[in-house]
Amino acid sequence: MGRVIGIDLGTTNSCVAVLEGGEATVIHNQEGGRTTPSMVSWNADGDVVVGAASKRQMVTNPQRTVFGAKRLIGRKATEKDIQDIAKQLPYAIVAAKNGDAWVDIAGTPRSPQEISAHVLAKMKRVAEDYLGETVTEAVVTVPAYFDDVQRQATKDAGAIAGLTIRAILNEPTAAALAYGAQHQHNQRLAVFDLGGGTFDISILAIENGVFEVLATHGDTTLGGDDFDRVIIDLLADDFQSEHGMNLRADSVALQRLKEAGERAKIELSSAMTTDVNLPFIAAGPTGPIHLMREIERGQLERACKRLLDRLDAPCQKALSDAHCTPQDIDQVLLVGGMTRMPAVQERAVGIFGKQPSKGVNPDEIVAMGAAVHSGIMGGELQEVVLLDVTPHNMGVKVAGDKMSVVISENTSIPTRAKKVFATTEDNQTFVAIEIYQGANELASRNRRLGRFVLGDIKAAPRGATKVEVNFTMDADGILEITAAEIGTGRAASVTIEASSGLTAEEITRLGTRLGTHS
Amino acid sequence: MGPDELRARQLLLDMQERLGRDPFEALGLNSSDPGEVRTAFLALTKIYHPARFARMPTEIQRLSNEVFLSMRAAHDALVRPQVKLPAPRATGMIPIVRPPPPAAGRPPSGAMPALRPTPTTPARTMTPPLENPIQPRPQSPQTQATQPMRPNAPRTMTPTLGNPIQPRPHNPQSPPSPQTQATQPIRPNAPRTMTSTLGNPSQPRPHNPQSPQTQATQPMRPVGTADPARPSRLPTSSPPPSTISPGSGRSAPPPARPSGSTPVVSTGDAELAAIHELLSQDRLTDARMKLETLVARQPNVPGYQALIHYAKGREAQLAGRRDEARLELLDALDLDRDLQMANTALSELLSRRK
Repeated sequence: MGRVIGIDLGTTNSCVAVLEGGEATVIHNQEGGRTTPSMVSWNADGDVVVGAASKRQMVTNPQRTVFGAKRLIGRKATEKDIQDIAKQLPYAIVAAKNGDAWVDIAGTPRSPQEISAHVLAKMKRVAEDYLGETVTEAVVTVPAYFDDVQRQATKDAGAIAGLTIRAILNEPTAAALAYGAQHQHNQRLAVFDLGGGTFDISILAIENGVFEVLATHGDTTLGGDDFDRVIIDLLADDFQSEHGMNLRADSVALQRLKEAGERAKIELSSAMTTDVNLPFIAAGPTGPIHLMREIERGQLERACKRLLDRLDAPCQKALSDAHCTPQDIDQVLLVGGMTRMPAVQERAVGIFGKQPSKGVNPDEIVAMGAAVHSGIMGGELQEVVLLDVTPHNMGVKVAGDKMSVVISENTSIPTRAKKVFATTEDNQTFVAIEIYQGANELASRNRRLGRFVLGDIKAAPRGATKVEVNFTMDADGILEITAAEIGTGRAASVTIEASSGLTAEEITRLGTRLGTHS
Repeated sequence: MGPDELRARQLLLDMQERLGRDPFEALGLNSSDPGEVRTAFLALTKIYHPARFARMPTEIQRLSNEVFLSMRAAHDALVRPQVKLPAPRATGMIPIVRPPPPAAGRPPSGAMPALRPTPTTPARTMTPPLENPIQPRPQSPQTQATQPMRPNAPRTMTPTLGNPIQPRPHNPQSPPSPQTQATQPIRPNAPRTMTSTLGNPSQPRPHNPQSPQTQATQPMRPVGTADPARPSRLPTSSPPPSTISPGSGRSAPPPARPSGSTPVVSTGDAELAAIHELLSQDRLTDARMKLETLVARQPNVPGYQALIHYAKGREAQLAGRRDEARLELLDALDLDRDLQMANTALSELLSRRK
C-alpha cells in the first residue's frame, strides 16, 4: 500500500504533510513555500493556474481567480451567508441546477468541488515530488462544524483530484493530534481555531494516548476573510465619503483593496500602525486618485469588535458540553493564521484564563495532525488513537415539522441510538422517515439528509403501531438508519450518503479534465 | 482478502465473540473498579478503534465499528452498575438527566457533576419538550449504545411521524397535560423515566424491558421538565445526588491529569523489594496482594501501578491469555519504561507468538 498523505485544505492556504519515522513532516511546495494559497485561476488561454502563481496574477485577472472556494463548498446559492459573501467577491457566484453555489468563470459554471480539486491535486503533486512515488490516498481536514454535505463535497473534490479520502478529520482535532503526539501525557486541551473562513473550538482529553474529543462548537461563517472585509469597508467607506466613489464596484480596485487589507491586518499583528498605499486606485475628473492612509491597531480592533464578540459563545458552549471550566483546561492551542492577531489572542486568554501554548505553528499544525492520523490508520502509530464526536444533532422530522433528535451533537462516535415513534393516523400503512441534521427545533430549518419509507405496517388505530428507528453512525460519521415495526419486525433501512450534487460521472469527467483520472 | 485483512478480521471476530460471551473477561478485567475498566477500555481502543481498519475492505470497516460499539457498551455497562440507583435503571431515564451546563463545571478530578434535579425546576417547567429553550437533549445515544442488555427498552417517545395530520395527545406541540397522563394509569412503566431519575425511592418501578409498547407513547421530557402527574412528590424525592452521577450518557473519564509528577518509586523500599522478589518467582497473587495494600496507601505512584499491570499481565501470560497479557505488559511499560521484567515478559510473549 502506498502512503497516505495529510492535507489541510484551508480557506486561504493549504498545507500537506507526511509521516516520516513516526513524525509529521510538512512538505515544501515547488515554489519553496510550506503552505500554498488555496487559489485557482483560469487565464485567458483557459489554462489553470494554482497556488502562489494564481495569487500573483489575481490583480490582473480578478474575475477568473477564485479564492475561498471552501466557503462555498456544499452550500446553496440562496443561503444568506453566501449572498453576503457574494457581494464582496470579484468573481461571480451562480446557482447550479440543484441550487448549489458555483462560480462563473468566463461563462463556464464551475463547482467549488472542482476548484478545490485543483488545490488538492497541487498538494498531491507536492507530496509526490517529495516522496518520489505516486500518492492516491489522503486524510483531509475540514472545519469541525462542516455538515455532511460539505464533508461529502470535500471527498468528491478529492476524488476529482485522484485521491481517495481515507478520513475526513476535523481541523481542531487534527491540531490536537499533532500537538499531543509530542506531548502525550494526560491532559485537557482547548483548540481555538480561527482560520480564513471558519471558527472552531474543541475541548479534548488525552488519556493514555487516547484523544477523546469532549465537545466541539463553532461558527462556519467567521474567519480571516471577515476581518479583511472590515478593513476593506474601512478603506472604501472613507474613500467614498472623501471622493464620492465606491471602490467596491470596481473589481480590480476591490481586489487591490482586499490584498492591501489582508497585508495591513497581518502587519498590525506585530506593528501598532501600518500604511495602506494604493496609487491610481481610481480615476477622478481631475486625474488619478491615490489611496493613502494610516491604520492603527486600535482602530482595527474597534472595527472588528463585533467579529471578536462572536468568538465567545461557541467557547462557552463547548466548555459546558464538555463539563469543563476554564480551570480544567491544561493547554490552549491557537490554530489558524487569524490567531496571530493580538486582539484574538486576548479573547482566547480572556475565555480560558491562561496563556496559549507556544511553539505551535498555527499554519502547519493541522496538516501535521492529518499526517499523524494517517499513521494511526496505517499502524505506524500504535499508541495513539482518536475518539471524535459528531458536531451536529441527527434526527427525524415528526408531526408539526419538529426535529426529534436521535443522536445529539457532541456524541462520541461510532455510536448507535434508537427512538420509538407512533403512527399519527388511523389505519396508516406506511411511515415516511425523513432524516435531518442540525440544531434548529424546526426540522425544515435543518439540513435534510434523506428520506425512506417503511411500508406495509399493520393497519391499526393511530398511535397503536410503533416504529423503532435506529441510527448507527460509524467512526467516519456515516449514518445508517433502520426502521422496524415493533411486534412484526417488518423493517427497512437506508445508508445516508450525503450528496454534494455531483454524480459519479461528473466526478470522473472532471477528473479526466484535470488529468488525474485516465 | 490478503493476510493482513484476514488477520484483522480474525482479531475483530475474536473480540466480538468474547464480548458477546463475557464483557468482563473480554476487557481483560480483574475487578470492576471504574478506573481499571476505563484503563482497559482505553488500551483496547488503541487496538480496535475503527480508524485502525480504515484502509481495510468495507466489510472489515463495518465489523470494526460493530466491535467498537459493543466494546463501548461493555465499558459503560460495567461502569454504570457501580452506581446505586434507588429506582431500577429504566433506560429512558439516563438521557434525560443530562446535566445542565454546570456553573462550576466538571471538577478537575474528572468526577461528573452530581445530577441533582433541582426540586423547583420540574414544577416550574412544563414546556413541551421541543420548545424548551435550553435545547433539550432528548437522549444520549451513547447511553443507548451502552445498554446492550436491554435492547428492547425504548427510551423515547416523541410522537408520531409519517403523515402528520393530527398530532396525538403526546405531541410535543401540546405539553402533556395532567389529564393525559392521568388517563394512562395502566402504563406503570411509561413515565418512569423522569420519576426514576428523580430517584423516588418510595416508588420502586419494576423495569420491564420486554414491554416497549407500554412506554412508547409517552412523550419524552427534557431536562427540567417533570411528569406533571406527580409534581407534588418531587420535593420528597431527593436522592443523594452522588448516587446517580454517571447518568449523563458520557462515560465519566477518570482524571485526565498528568500523574507523572509523583515519583515512580517513593517509599516502602523494603516492601517493594519483597514484592519484586515475589514477582521474580511468579508468586503473582501474593505480590498483588502486597501491591494493592501499597497502592491503597499511595494511589498515585506510577511505579506501583506498573507493577500491578505487570503482575496481571504475567498472570494472563501464564494462563495463555496473550492479548490481555500484552496489553497489561504494555501498560506496565507505559508507566515505568525501565521495568525490565515487563520487557522480558513481553519479548517472551512476542517471540512465542511467532
